[in-house]
Parts: sequence; C-alpha cells; structure tokens
Amino acid sequence: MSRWLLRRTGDAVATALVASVVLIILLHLLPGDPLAAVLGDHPVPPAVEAALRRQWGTDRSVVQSIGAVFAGLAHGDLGVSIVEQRPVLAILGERLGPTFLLGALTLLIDFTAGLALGVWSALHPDAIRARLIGAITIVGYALPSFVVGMLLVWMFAVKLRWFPAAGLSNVLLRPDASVMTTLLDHLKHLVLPLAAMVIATLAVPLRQQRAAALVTAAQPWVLAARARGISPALVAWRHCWRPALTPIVTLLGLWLPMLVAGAVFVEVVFQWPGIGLLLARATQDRDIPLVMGAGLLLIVTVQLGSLLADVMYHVVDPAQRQA
Amino acid sequence: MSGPRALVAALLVGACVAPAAAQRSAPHATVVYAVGREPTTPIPLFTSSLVENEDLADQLFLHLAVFKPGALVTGDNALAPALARSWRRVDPLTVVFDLDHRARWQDGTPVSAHDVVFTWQLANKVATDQSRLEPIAGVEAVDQWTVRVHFKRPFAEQVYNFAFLMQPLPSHLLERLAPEAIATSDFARRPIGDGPFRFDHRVAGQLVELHADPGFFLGRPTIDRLIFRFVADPNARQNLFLTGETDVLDHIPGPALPQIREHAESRLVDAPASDLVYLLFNTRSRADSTRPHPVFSDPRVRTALTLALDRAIIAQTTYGAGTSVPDAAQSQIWSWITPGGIKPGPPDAARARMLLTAAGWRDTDGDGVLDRNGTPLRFGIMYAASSAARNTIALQVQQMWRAVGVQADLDRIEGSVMRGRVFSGQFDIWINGVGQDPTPSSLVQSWSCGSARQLGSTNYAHWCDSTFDRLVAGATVARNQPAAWRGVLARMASQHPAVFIAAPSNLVAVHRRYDNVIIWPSRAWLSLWQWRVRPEAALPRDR
Amino acid sequence: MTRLARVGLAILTLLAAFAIVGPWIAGDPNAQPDPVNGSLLLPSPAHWLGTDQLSRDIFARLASGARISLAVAAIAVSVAAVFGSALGLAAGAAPGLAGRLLQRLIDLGLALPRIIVLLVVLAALGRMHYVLLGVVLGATGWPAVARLVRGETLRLRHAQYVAAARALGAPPARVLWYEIFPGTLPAVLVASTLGLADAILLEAGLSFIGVGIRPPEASWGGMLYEARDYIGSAPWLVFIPCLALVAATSAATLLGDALRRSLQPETR
Repeated sequence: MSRWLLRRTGDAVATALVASVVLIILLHLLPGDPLAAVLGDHPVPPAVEAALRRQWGTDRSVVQSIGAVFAGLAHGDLGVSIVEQRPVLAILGERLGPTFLLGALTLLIDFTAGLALGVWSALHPDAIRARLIGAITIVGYALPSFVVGMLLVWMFAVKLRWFPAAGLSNVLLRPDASVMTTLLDHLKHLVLPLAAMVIATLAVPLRQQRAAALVTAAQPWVLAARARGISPALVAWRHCWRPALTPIVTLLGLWLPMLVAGAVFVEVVFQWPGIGLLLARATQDRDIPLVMGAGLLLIVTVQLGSLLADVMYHVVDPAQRQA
Repeated sequence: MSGPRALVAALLVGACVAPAAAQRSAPHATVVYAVGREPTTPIPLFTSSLVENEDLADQLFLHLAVFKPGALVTGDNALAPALARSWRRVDPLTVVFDLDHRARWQDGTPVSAHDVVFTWQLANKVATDQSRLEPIAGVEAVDQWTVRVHFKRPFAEQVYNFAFLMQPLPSHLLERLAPEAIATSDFARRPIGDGPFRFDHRVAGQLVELHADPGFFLGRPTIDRLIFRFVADPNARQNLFLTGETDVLDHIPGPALPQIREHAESRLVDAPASDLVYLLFNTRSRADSTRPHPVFSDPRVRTALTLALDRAIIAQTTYGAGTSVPDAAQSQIWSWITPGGIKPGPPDAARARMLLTAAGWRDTDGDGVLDRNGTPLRFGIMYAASSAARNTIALQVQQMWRAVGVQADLDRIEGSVMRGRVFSGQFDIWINGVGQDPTPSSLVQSWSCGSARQLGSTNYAHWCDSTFDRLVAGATVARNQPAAWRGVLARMASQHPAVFIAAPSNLVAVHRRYDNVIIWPSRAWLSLWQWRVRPEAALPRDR
Repeated sequence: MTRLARVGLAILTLLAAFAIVGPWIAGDPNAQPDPVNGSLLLPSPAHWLGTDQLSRDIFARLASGARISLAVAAIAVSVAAVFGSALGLAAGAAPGLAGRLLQRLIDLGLALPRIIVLLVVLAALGRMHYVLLGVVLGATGWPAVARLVRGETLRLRHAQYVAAARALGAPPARVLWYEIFPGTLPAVLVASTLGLADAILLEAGLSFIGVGIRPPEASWGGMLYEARDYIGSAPWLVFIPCLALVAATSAATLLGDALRRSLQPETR
C-alpha cells in the first residue's frame, strides 16, 4: 500500500507540473494587454511603458515565463496581481475561504440529503413521492445554475427581501463585530447561492446512490434478511448503505475540484467573492499572474482530489487493489 | 429531508437577528455606494483614469478649486474656491493662488504651498496623461500658503487648467518615496488626505470605508460614513439597490428605469453628465495605418451611414426616453455652448442610399449588400464587452445599416484587448464612450490634426480637418465663448468624423432619506459630504 | 421506465426538428421591426412567443437558438467521443511504454481544469462560428471519455470472448477493432447522451458570462444573458429559453439513463 501510494503521489506531482507548463503556454496565447488596466486609456510615453512591462514581466517569452513561475514557486511566491497590485497568494487566500464554504456545504447537503433520498427512493421505487423526487431533481439538474440563481435572487432578495441579493457579508457590519454576528451574517448571505448550487447538483449523488442501492436491494442476502423479519430501516442501513458507498466515495474525491472551480457561474450571479468569480474577472482583465495562481491552485486540487479518491477507494474496498 | 429543512430554519433565524449588531448610539449618517471595480489606487496622479479611483480620491483629496455644475470653465472667476481660498492674476502668463490657511492633512500637518509644488513636480514624472501639464511653465512656492503659477502662453482656461486638475498630495509623506513606488506603498493602502473624509479601512475585494473628518476646515461633513462597495456585475448592483443594501445607484441603464421608478424607497436625480457615446469612423486603413480607410475616407459614405441611423430611437431604447442626441462631440456638460446641443436632422434612408450610390456602392450581385469593384460594403463594429448599452446600440446600428445594404459585423471585445486595438488602429468603427472634460478646448486632444499625427494619441481615428483646427484655435482665445464654440461644433457636425449617438444624462437613484443631493457632472460625488439624512427618515444604519 | 426513455427521445427529436425547420418558418431572428413600440410584447398571433427588448421575435430567436445550442452540444459530444475513444482505446491496448505515455496524456488532459482552458481558449479565439465553439467544447471534453474507454478496454482485454479470439490467432489490431472496440461502444454512447445535457448547459453558461456565442446570434444561453435585466418587467424573456433548455437537458438525461439500463445491465 505505501509503495503504491508513493508511486501514485509521484505521478500526481509530475502530472501537475506538466499541466502547469501547458497552462503557462496557453496563457501566452491570450490576446490582449495585461497592462491595459494599469496604463488606462491615455497614451503612455514609451519609456514609462517599457519600464512597466519589465516590472510586471509582460515582456517575457514563454520559456522565460516558465522559468519565472517555477523560480517563484520554489520560494512559495506566485507573483503580484497586476490589477490589484497585491501578492497573488494573499488574494487566493482570501478567495479560497468563501469558495470552500460554499462548496463544502453543497457537498455536505448533497451527500447527506442526496444519499438519503437516493436510498429511500430505491427502497420505495413505486411511491409517488419517490417519482416526484426523481422528477424534481432531474429538472433541477437540467436547469442552468445561473438561471436558478437569477430566479432565487429575484424572488427571495428583491421581491420578498428575505435574503441579501449578493456578496458575502453585510458591509455595514463593523470589523470588530462578534464572531457569532459575523457568522450569522455570512450564513444569511450563503443561503441563496447554496440553494442554487444544491438544486443544480443534488441529482448526481441521488441518482448514483439510488442506482447502487437498487442493485444491492435485489441481492439475495438482502432479500433473505428481509425475509427473516428484520425491519426495513435496519436492512437499509446495514445492507444497502455501506456496499453502495464505494462509488460515492470515488465521486466525492472527483468532486473536490468542484469545491474550487465548479461554482464559476453561481459565483458570478451572486458576486460571491470566491475563486470562480476571481477567475472569470482575472481572465477578462488578462491579469496573468492571478489567472496563473488560480490555475495552479485548481491543478493541485484536481490532483489532490483524484489521489484522495484512489486512496479512499482502497480503504473502502480493499479487494480492488489493482489500480 | 429534515436535515436541510432544519438548516434553512436556522439560517432564517439568523436573518432576523443579524442587523441588531450594527446599531450605535451616535448619529451616523451613512451612504453605501456600489462601484464596478475596486479602486486600488485612489490617489491623484495614480488613478490610471479609472473613474472608481477618481471618485474615491475626490473624497480624500481636495482640488485647489472646483468648477460649478453647468457653468463655463473659461475665465478666472468661473471656479469656486476649495483648497485655494482665492487667486489673482498678475499678468496674462501668471496666476497666484492663496491656499486656505486652515487646511490640514489628516495627520495634523498644515497643507502648504510646498505640497502644491511637490505634486506638480511629481505629476511631471508619473502622470500618464501629460497633455494638461504641457501649458504650465513652472510652479513656485512664494511663502507657506502662496503658489505662483507661470503659463507658457495666454489662454482663457488657465485657472481651470491648474486649479481643478491639481489635487495636492502630502509632500511630507511622499518625498521619501521613489515616484514609481508610491502606487504600491503603504500610503496607497491607507491614504492620508485633506478632504472631507478620512480613510477608515479596506476589506480587499469587497469594500473601502471612509469616515467623516470632524475637523474638516470647510465644515463638518453631514455624512459620517461613506462605503464604496465593489460589485462588478451591473445587474447585481441594481439588485443590491432594490433590496436596500446600497443607497445610491448611478448610470442607470434605460431597461432598468421602469423598475427603479417603481421603487418606493428611492427617487431619481437626473444629473447633467459628461458622457458622450459615438460611433467613431477610422480614417485610416486597418491593414496599413498610413493609408486612408477604403470606405470611410469618402465623406459621402460617412454622411450616408449617419443618415441611415435613427439615432433618436437608438438613444431612447438604450438610455431611456428623452435622451438627447447631439450632432457633434457635445455632452450635456457643455450645454452652455448651445442649450440642448446641436440637434441632428431626421434620419433619411432614401438619401443615404442615394449618397452610397453616388459613392459607387451598388448591389450588383443581388445579395442585399452593396458592392463596388467586387468588394462588398462590409466592415466591423468594435465595442467593449463590459457595456450592455453598447451592445444594444451595436445591435440596432447593425440592423439599420442592413436596411440600406451595408453589412456591419459586430466585434465585441474585452477591455484588455481594446487598448491595443485602438492605439494600433485595428478597427473600422469603434463604439466609444467618453467622459468629456469640462472644457471644450479638450477637443484638441481627440480631434485635431496635431494629435492625428502624434503616435498613440487619443485621436484614435486620426481625424484631421484644418478648418476645424483653425476654429478651435480661435475659440480658445475668443471673447464670445459660446458663439465661437458653436462654430467649432457646427463644423464638426458637417464633416461626420463619427456618428454621435447620445449624450445621456447621469440618472442617479438615491434613497429618499437624503436631502441636499447634488450630483456633479464628470466628478459626480464632489459634494457628497454635504448630503443630509432627514432625521425622521433615518435608517438603522444611520444611527 | 422505457416509457420515460421514449418521452426523452421524442422531446429530443422534436427539438432537433424544431432546430432544423424552425428557422425556416420563423423568419429573421435579428429583425427589429419597431424597437420603441414593439418591444417586450406578450405572445400574440403575430409574435407567437412575444418580442424582446429590441422588438425581435422570440419564437424566431428560440428557433435559431435551438439550432445553435443543439448543434454546439452535438458537435462537442461527438468530437469528445471520437477523440476520447481513439485515445482511450490506444492507451488501453498499446503495450509497454506507448501505453503508459498515452495514459499520462489522458492524465494531463484530466489535470487541466476545463473551465480555465475554456476561458482562455475562447478569449483567444474571440468571435467564432458556432461549429468552432462546439469543436472547442469537444476538444476540452475528451479526457473524461478517454478515461472511460481506457477502463473499458482494460476490462475487455481480459474478457473471455476476447481471450478466445486471441487464442484463435487473431492479430492484436484485429482483436482491438472487431472485439474490443465494439465492446466499449455502449459505455461511450451512454456517456455521450448524458454528456449532451452537460454540453448544452456549459454552452449556456459560457454564453451567459459572455465568452460563448456572441451577439447578434442567438443561443439559449445568450438569450438568457440578454434577458437578465428584464426578469422583473418581462419574465417570459427568461422563462422561454429556460424552458427550452430544461426540455433538452432533461430529455437527454432520461434517454441516457434508459440507454444505460438497456446497454449496460451490469451497472443496474
């Protein structure tokens, strides 16, 4: 196991490195001037402009860029954002929290409510409610998350005023407000984006778990257990839950990147200050250091996620050891 | 099922509890204003012409003098005192400014003539727009509060040129820094100014909060707290205003007007604005910028393309009913030249077709698009992706031109691509939107032969008309200013260097509780510190 | 359950027919007969689904949007399926170093975050024909298919009938083409049908943030983007393209599910 893990980790690191190089090359293909935001819409004396280009490294060739990025990485430095004029690392740090909060809560709800509903509808395949749940989740999945977001904002923020329309926190809150107040404020801002995310994604774990549970429910030993008079709930827990967990665990690992990137559209609608919104804006502004930083973060997350999925796969189902 | 339901219930409880924490006993009149970008360098000279930076800088740093809304900016007495309490003319080339002796930097240091000299010297090193500095020969400190300014030549806007454009910076804090280090210095993070507000704190990526300076020498501000909130998405800005999370919404687009009008908690202020939107014809070929444009160098084509557009309809659908359509580069801020602007004639598609035929463009192959020597009458319309209004304009222009046999391709691009394209002349038609300078002499920068020859000037289309130049030169020293500038604009209208689509006003919605709301043209929030909250209408955030 | 599959298939067929025939009967999706008095009209005999903010006929835009949105999704899915299958098969079947290199290539494809690649490539390409947009979406979607096909190939290599073919002396290429490749098809077909829904949603999302289909062309996502400002005053501008999107994506999902059940009974 440990040797396997070592090799698997080595592969992940190598893949991440090559992917980073590809990303740098891709960024060099982008048309547009990363310095446009700094230079403004006035003509700038050539000497001033040249100095700025040197300062921000926008005059580098691909090879020089690759060198610069990896040299920076060796020192734990991702450069400075051109638009915000602050270290990329600091910006990513600020943005990671909100994205993680939104993503983690989405996963939490998906993988509790979603799984429970999945097992339940597998056990009651003919109940009207099960069919209804199936239909609703399919429609939810079929709706673009940003449309769900738009409608939620319109209904619950603009019309009913139950929740804020956008952002992460109430700007009127003093920075010295108590932790509890701040937390409640964040939660209030979180409800609508979270609802949009859950509506758009709930169908995936639900359907997966239902399918898996259906297979197990038809197994002879489950039928035997039911025949022995064990209560359906207990049967469901003992025999349908755990065996069905394997594919779900894998799914969880593969969903880790979604924590960071999958929410781009929802983050844009709610102006949720996370990585997705940052990425959309930084690409538009050609803030190359920032796009690069966010890209590296995503690449590492993807590798971490798939590594985690493999490891969990091993833990949950030791029989499947040939990777 | 109970899991999510319980969570939602918990969050609902939270929704009801949270606002109580923000309450305070002292009066705390507040304005929350959502802006499209984060003002990262709200310091004069370092604003990168970003309006968010300029607006924030206006709250922190005083101008020497401010122009009055709707008034001429020519002459020595056109401006109102601010940091300078008075000025007098010594001779046609020299003006002496007397600073207000009470003015203090927010760290307690008096504002001095030396600060003004320092800022002028710094501007010469770092300003990205040097055109305003060019007429100034020298600036010297006579004593602690007196500044003498020498100009290279006599002109009517000397006071405006120096006094409005000059927002002094604190020399005692910046002299030690290298000029290029200022934008990323601690000073940029926490500016110390001499204006009505002082910098309180910034939450990166989210907001900047300013607090009133109770000792402000022009009077204690009646707004105690001003929050610039950063919300990139215009739609989200609108929603935040409708939910009452922000207090001000500016530049309201036409489509949103009905909804804002219905909004019971706010009222609309229709402020004259410096905004001007036009379709700029490139006079040079985009393939080879030394050669004339194959289509637009013919004035008949430019006239025809202008006549083919019903600009009143475009302006109305884009900016709302009643939006004025000028026939030359004249925003509402210059309404003193001709009240309401020079009006265009009615659209005339028949004449447009006739002119195009006269210019040799005929539909010989029957595909609905005119052609000449086998080349179809086809070109691109470039515009910024960030603006929904420009998109609406482009879509309508495309259709109206199609009706007369012109094929225009829409080329929606991002701001970062735009800069390179306009300076290298890589466009046929550009839907440009500008905020005009308060003085019409600024027309020189974007429309004169001199700037057309200059590499990388803001005369992006390289338009050059010697008659126009002569009229402008005469107008800058003319006795009857309105008449002289009327002549300038009439000449421009007759030459069609661009199709002027609209001079929209700045429609601003503000919460009903504010009194004394004055929106300034070009620098909208100059007197925000004098707004007042009616006590009986105060919100929890004001207490 | 096959009833649901039939419903899904019927909806998709109807939408495809609408995409092909609709633009012919609906007229010009960009015509603006009367932007001042004819905008934001409710459905009427003249405009079956009403008009938008520029007095354009929503039915016509929906039809031309159907053509673009469905074509983009179909092209994206096809490109991903062909490219992904080829690589996956090769990676699964190639011996030694070649196989490992191909596997690394697939890993690399999976490692690059699709959203970043799309944002960058679409920004680099600027205005493009919708066919090209489909190809770009497909070119970033292949790694998932490749991983799937590689897995299937590895599994089938040890299947009895493949072993039998090999024992009978069939050359490896022949085994790959006639025995293994057909065996991977069900998985690809199922993944592609389900992927159709994802591709439609992705195109809508990209058009919504302004990097997909550009005006004046109509795609469903683009229509939603332009309708944003009118959700309060003219909600049908949002609902109509939204309904079309939901119909297409849920039909693709239903069909994909049904295909999975009948083609891959082992995953049932």
